[in-house]
Amino acid sequence: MKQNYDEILKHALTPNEEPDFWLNQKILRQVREERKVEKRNDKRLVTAVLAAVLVLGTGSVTAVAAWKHLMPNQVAEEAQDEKLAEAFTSGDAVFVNETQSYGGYDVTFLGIVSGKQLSEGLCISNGKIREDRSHIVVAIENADGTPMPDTSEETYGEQDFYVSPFIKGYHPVDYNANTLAGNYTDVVQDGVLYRLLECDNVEIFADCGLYLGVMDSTFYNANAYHYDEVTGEISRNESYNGLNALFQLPIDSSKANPEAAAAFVENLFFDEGGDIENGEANPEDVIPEGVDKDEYLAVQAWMEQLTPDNIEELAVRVESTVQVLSVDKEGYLNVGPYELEGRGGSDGMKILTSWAFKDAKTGALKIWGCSASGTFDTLRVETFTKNEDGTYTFAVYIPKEQ
Amino acid sequence: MTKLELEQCINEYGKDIYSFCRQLTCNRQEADDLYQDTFLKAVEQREKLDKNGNLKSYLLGIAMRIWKNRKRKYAWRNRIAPVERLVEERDDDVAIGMEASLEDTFITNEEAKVVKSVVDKLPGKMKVCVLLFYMEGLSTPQIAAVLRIPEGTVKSRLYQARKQLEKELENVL
Repeated sequence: MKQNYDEILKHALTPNEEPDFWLNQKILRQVREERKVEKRNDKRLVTAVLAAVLVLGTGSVTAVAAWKHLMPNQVAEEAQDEKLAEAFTSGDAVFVNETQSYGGYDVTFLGIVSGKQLSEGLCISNGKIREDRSHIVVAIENADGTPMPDTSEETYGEQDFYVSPFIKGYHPVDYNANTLAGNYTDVVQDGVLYRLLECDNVEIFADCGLYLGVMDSTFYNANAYHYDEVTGEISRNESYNGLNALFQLPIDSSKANPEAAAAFVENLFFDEGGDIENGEANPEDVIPEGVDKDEYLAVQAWMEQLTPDNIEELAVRVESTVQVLSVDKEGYLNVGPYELEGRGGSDGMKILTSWAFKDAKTGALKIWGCSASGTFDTLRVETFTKNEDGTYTFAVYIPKEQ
Repeated sequence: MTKLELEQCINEYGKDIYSFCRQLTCNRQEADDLYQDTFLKAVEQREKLDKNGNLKSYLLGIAMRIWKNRKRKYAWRNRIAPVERLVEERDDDVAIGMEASLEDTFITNEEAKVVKSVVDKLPGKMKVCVLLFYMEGLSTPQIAAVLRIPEGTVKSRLYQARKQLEKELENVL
């Protein structure tokens, strides 16, 4: 019988998907073009060296530093985003070229460009297409000159970096690249890691004062910066033993839009992609293909009525997902991976307790989030409970039979 | 890798790599991107390429690492309200039909579709091992080398996956 299944699997999985002819042609063409670009880069380098000599004469070391890096448009080209590369050569792009060195890294803020539909990539968050975006490029390199690992190497990603705009007057724990629907692409060239971050357009906050933080963590690290609750100023924590660069984002304050900023802040934590029943969202844009609309709405209703008080009544705890977690020395909970048959799972997550559980009471369960593909049999609910000994219990619940 | 070598490589392994990308991503657009990036990365790393080694394993290894990084990048964006990927309707029927006549087909196209959907539901790590073993025909030491994990781990994941698949397939076939 076992042999039978082996044969069935082999047969069913026999490679039978042919790549499109034009896809193969595109690869061959791209390789040809990249070779041309390599030659062009050599020429640019000569120009750069000449320019560096001239700038050295005036003594501006910071400005020189940028010449050894790719320009923001080149980084976008490397990330195969021609449209964005073009945007970086437009008059709207701002070049900064400022280097800061902390925690064994040299970080250069290369530039920023903001606007609608500047990239070939499409960002969809909470069922909505995010068109108006800021695109930021930074270069990160080891201060001792050793090359950063290539994105294809196993060691890539072992040291994470978090790049995020901050807004004066808004606590960076709450207002950062994550809440601004951020996304990034890494490109490594000549041992330098270039990070291309995109997030919701921050220009609307230009009159508040904007910063750019670069730190050596996966998410925002509250130990790396200080937030002054009175003045709203954000500053580096000088005693932080690691990377915590902080740049000023040079955006013309005339681009500010206080009304849009206020609306953005108001909607930030309540933006769930619109309500289908009220006609705020088109069902086809939100409901996954093949999912029944009635079931989708029933799942939404189920999630909305779910509270810590009725969770035991509506759902069952999956014991195999339970993890008792201690807070690490940086204040994070490191949740391990889990997988639920047919419902997906998580590769793990890192959560800053001072942010996520600042008002948590001992013994009280907190619903961290619900996830579903629109059906009850894909629904799962992640929860945390703070224990008396300071640990937290993570558990996943699934709905009781519908 | 010269242009000619790249062309040969695409001709020889294109179908294998593309099928793997397609099954891994469950989405044609993402599969196209992954397939393209895999070959471009292989060209970029041409100095590292061991022409006497197993080129197919090497390409599969690149595809795996790109996919892993891509998933990691998108994971945090969707953390608070995770977005499940949309399951794209597959058009496998035609492709399978081209491979062999119905008489020769051991299982029907419909059954093959069911098997693929059951494999899709496996936890990610098991699914990758199953694809490399059954789809790409790699041996367990080769899979261990591609995934850079101990061979014992590969065997254990395959064992667990088989158990789970047998249970599922028993109900549907």
